[in-house]
Amino acid sequence: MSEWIRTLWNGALFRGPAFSGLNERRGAFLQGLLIVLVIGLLVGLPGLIGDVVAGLRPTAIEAEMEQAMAEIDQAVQQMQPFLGNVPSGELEAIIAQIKENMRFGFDIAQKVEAMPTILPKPMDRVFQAIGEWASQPFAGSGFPLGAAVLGTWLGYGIWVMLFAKLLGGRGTLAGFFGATALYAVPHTLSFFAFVPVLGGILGFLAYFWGLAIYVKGTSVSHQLSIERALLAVLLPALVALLVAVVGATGLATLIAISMSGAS
Amino acid sequence: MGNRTLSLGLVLRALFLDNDAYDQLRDDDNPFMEGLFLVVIIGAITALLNLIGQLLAWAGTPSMSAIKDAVWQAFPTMQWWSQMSGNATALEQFKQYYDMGWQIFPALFGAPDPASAAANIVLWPLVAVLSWLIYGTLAHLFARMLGGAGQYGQTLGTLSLSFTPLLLRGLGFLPYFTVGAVMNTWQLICRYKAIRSAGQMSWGRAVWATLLPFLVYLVLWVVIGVVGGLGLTAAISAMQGR
Repeated sequence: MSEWIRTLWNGALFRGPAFSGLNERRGAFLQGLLIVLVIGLLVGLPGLIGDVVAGLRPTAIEAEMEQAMAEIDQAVQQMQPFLGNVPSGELEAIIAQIKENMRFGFDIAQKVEAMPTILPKPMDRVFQAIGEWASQPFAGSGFPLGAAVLGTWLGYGIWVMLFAKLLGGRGTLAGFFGATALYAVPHTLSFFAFVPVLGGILGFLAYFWGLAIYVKGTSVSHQLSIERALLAVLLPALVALLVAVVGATGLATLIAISMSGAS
Repeated sequence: MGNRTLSLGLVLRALFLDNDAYDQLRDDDNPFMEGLFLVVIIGAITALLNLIGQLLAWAGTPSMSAIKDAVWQAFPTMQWWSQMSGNATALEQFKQYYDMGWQIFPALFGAPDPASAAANIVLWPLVAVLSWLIYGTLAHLFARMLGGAGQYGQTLGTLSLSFTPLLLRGLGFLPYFTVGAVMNTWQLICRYKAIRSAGQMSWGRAVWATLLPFLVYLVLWVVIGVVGGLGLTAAISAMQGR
């Protein structure tokens, strides 16, 4: 265990032996998988604790409703400068309608909560919290390599592997996935994601730190220069962006042609 | 009776991309039978584990019909209800849509469904075997065209190991657990390893042999879409002409 933590620490500090050690290990893929999985679960712990505690409170639904109502009032206050042209009577009617619909939803939720179940009552909420927490490391991320999750590690990884091979890389699949899994280490900072402002800053820092580690891992596992490894890491995102831009431009052109033809 | 190559250790080594695991099954005296057994067993075991999760979630959730009734009984408190309830036709139509919605949406939003989960014990192995045979046949044809040396049975045998990532579905014994797309990506990587091992090909050719069957699927779906669309258009115009 201590050796494992030392490897993660050395990887976070860009020390070469950490990467080559993982790359050359027999169970390199399993090691990489464990790194991403354990960090993904660790990062989700504050959320799990919060969800379980919220689920065990007897007045969870009332508290949720009060919070939702307060959030609506707060949002309306914040939007007030942009709602100058809306007559105040109309605005109040819209807000009253939204609140009525929400109250309707919460009333039903309370009735459902009071219904009998085979297992004791809070079990479902605890199950739900545990199930969602355990699912987190298997999800994807909104941005390539944006979180310690298996979806992006494998999904983006296969493209980086392909480009690295095309750029002359000599790595194996297992070794590559083992070495690049160290990108997840800085994402332990996302453990503090629940802290306002600081959580966002740490997440931003973790992303670029993790990206740099990923480049180093690609370079070591494929025996490529850092410049080539950087290219292999960035090219899949750039190609996807290019395809999206070309697709969007093509679609816009088609719409413009059809509209001019119709008029 | 031939030698048994399959073991839990081999399955786990294949799951974690160990080359030797794929080579070992390729060199078995009957890789097809070993593969068939593996694909069926993975489908059945994961469906059983998933059933446990669904039963636990179901036992912790109130009955869907009780929730449906509670929502229906709450409608009269809404302002719009008084306007609609005066119109019997509108009310009848609303009730029909409401009932239809309750048949579709609970499943879409992941409501526990032990009956479907129990049916999966038969369905998952069946779908897995079909997918294994269709993809395996196409991949073998492409691999041979690209210079692959493997026999049909060897390709199918090693490809059965690409079903090992489906074991992740077994984690469904945890209620509300979802795997996501990671399983498909992992399976794709295992397919590449299997085809490369069976055909003993270069990485580039193995990549093509792995991806080309999906191109065939895509073309097939486009053809089905076009033919279906044309058929539908013809049927509509024939009905209008009547």
